[in-house]
Amino acid sequence: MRRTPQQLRASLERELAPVYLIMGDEPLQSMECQDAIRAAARSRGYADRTVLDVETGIDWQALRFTADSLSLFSSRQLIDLRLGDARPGTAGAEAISRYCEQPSPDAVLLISSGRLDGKTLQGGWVRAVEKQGVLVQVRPLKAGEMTAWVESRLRARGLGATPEAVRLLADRDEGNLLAAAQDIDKLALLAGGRTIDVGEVVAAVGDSARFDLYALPDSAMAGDAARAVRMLRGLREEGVEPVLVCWGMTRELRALNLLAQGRRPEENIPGYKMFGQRESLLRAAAQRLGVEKMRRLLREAIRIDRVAKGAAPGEPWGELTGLCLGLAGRPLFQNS
Amino acid sequence: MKVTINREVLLGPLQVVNSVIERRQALPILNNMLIVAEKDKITLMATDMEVEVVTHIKNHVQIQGSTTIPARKFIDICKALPADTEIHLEVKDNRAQLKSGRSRFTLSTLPASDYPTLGGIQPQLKFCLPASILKRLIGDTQFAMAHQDVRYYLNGMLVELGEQRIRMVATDGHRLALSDAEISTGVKENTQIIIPRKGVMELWHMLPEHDVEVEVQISQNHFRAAMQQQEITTKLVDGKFPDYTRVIPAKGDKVVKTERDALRQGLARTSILSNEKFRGVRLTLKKGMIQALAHNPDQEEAEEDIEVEYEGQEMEIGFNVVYLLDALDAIRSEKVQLEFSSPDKSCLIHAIGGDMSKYVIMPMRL
Repeated sequence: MRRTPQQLRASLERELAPVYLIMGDEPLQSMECQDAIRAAARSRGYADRTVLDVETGIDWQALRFTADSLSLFSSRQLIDLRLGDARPGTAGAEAISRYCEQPSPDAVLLISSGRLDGKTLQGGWVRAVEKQGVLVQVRPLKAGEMTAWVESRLRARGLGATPEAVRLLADRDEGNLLAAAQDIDKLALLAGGRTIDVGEVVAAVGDSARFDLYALPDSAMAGDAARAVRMLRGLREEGVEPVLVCWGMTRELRALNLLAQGRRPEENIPGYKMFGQRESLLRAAAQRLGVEKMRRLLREAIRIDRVAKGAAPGEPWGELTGLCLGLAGRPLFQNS
Repeated sequence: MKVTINREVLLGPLQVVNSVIERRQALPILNNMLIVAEKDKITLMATDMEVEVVTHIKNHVQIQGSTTIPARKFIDICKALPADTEIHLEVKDNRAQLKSGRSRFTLSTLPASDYPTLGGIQPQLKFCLPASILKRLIGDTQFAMAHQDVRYYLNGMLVELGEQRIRMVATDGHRLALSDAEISTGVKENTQIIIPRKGVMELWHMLPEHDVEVEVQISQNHFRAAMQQQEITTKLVDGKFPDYTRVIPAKGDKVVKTERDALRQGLARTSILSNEKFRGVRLTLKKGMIQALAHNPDQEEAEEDIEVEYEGQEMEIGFNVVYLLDALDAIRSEKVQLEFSSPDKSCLIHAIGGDMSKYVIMPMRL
């Protein structure tokens, strides 16, 4: 029979089917359905668990063999058959169908799979599973459903939030339930019983973004090119605007440029401070690069700023990567 | 450092040390072995950070010192040299020069001070036993250890120490092997440790056939077996071994007695036509005989009647034949006893006369 994830959870409290198929390409729901089945099996004494991974190659006879091999320590076992994005093929389809005709009396078979197309869904093995057990299809939420999902998730964690906060969270994590679930877990720790408002959502997310932005020029100045490039990619994936990254880089380049000329950045850049370890980091970098190179890097930064703002042709992230490498002393081209 | 050593003297210890080194290493220095030359002794040492092996060779040393050199290359060179030649090893300016006859090699080195060695452990337990007993205990049980099981504590050997007894138990969840030896250990209360699979296998290969004393030291986190010229130390598995006593069946009502060799050979013949990967055979217990039956996906079939002493009821039961053969291989007596109770309950196998080892095997549904 077919069930929704919610129906599945309710049914697990009553009974355990011999076969489950969880399919769909929404990882969070898929994971949570599988976890619920594993937990339900464990609490009913299915202490042994065997994982059969299809993507890494499988001999399909292993399914029957595993089900038929009795264990010394537990009389019941869960067989975790992971299809992933692989298809069972003829041999697999037959093995699963055969198993469903004669499921082992003391095993639960849990099949997890990515999205299955319409043709596969009509295929023999899926029908065999449906006849003998439970089929759960998880699908990504539609754009309009996200808000309701966030709201119910917050409620389930015992959290209250203003409608604006819910909307902001839904917007930020749209299409990524895993991230949303993590953000909600994080907020649960931070809020500590209070109602969550927009400010709290912004703060919980803004903090980490700011940290990365400032750490980027530092690692480039320290000469750690690999780390700088990795951070840049992280920022890009985070969705930070290249204009902002460029601003952060330019600010440090101006300071370095002044240092290289023997002038004091504090006196020439409003609000700029440097002390302790950062001062020695800056001084070392300025000395390493020298006046001429610094001037060239700064000119580069100004051009990239125009690229990022759409005032000059080019691709800002690629350009920024070049700038970071230059600052790290590993220029892409010898004369830059 | 400068030494001259005969190839035959070097090769044995070299191979013992080398087998510890993993082929793919994250840390470059773990591809190397440590060589220490002092007074009249050369010490070789290798580790993978889990298992550490040390061997000492009595040999004249011209210049004392220590270094680490790539183990695999070193041993390959020594193996390729003609028999009974003298090998000159000298370390100069961070390069190791190897000369023998008309061959010359220069190997890279890494500083000996960077080599991760365990040094002394603080043993809470210490006792001695003959190597032959330790070798028998491991040999009787090691095949039943799990291999890369998620239940990490099964990927090793349980060693249980009582005041007058040492017991080893290995299981992969489908079969279990247990072996006892009477040894005065000086242990006040029963102690259990789990030695990881690799440590067990290295120790087993290292133990000599002839009889020497082995000193066993056990600390909070380590197991060490020391012989005169060799020493192996392994980390312990931090985990709880399942209660094995629970799975050793009480005496079954269907008792089969038979010649070990006849049964083993009969099963080995039958197994040829069992499924190549999943080796199921069906046994039918009948009066005076066991009938073994196997077939494979190609519809080929093998049948064998094996003469046994059996007076009980007729019963059909399926087994992974490899488990049966492993147990029968490990038993040394001429006659064995198999005890069954029902087709979905485990079977107990042991030798008749001097049964220091027991084997428990779960059946398969066929």
